[in-house]
Amino acid sequence: MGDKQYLGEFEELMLLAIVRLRDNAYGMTIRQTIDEVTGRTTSIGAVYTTLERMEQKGFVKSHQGEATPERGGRAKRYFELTGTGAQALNDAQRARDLLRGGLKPAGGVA
Amino acid sequence: MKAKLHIYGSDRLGKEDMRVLRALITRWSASTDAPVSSWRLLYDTGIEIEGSSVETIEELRQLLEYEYGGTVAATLRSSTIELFTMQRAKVYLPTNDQPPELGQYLLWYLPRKDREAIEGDLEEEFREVHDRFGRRKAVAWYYFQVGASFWPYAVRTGQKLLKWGVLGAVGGVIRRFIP
Repeated sequence: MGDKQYLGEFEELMLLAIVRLRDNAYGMTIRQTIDEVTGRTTSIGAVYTTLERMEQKGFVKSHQGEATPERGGRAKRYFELTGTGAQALNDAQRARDLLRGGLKPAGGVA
Repeated sequence: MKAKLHIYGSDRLGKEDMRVLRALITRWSASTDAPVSSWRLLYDTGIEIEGSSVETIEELRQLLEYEYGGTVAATLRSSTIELFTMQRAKVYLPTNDQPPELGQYLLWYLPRKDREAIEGDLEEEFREVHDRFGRRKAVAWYYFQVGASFWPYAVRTGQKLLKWGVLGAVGGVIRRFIP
């Protein structure tokens, strides 16, 4: 299998949200994007603990952004995908495609 | 044109005062006329102005009066902050759309490196919810986030303790074989 790192479900959602948000990917926007997609409420703590884990794995990197009055003068922390993270996303997608191949939408075999 | 900042209240600049001042100065910095380039907010301990550390309101008042020659004061403990320019235009930072103080205190469990970003995210989204659904729902949303965010950090801490506990146990076994 080599050195592939496979993503958890939530990790994959987070990385896709970061890709989709581009330069505007920080805690609040990532959380809101996942809420909209999944239809369930995600806590900001779950978002940050997952982001930290992924940063340790090298999937994302972060940098400090600007502070605004709407945030009480607190700075944002922006996240972006790394090459390793992009590879992990591709590997996860490829694995899903391979497993899905030949299956009917309801789960039966074609 | 210089902005006048009026300051009243108790002696020590507290965390809430710092938070409000930081928001004010951040907003103030959008104006090219304010002498904000010489201000630096130290998150927990005070303000640094022109290289001088300021920790009390009295020091701030004296320093500002000395540096900028005008009467300066800010209502830090009341419901609004008023910022007067030379044209006497008022800029309010309304505080009725601020997150509940108790909710912010309950975020004690956050690690220091995440605290600023998370508190900022929660406050920013609190204001959005407040604007759309009103204060009651915004406060409920905020407390939900504070409570729901505790568990991921608790689990992470538990995992770290377990890892160190297992390592400690393994280390203890290995030590028995070292003469």
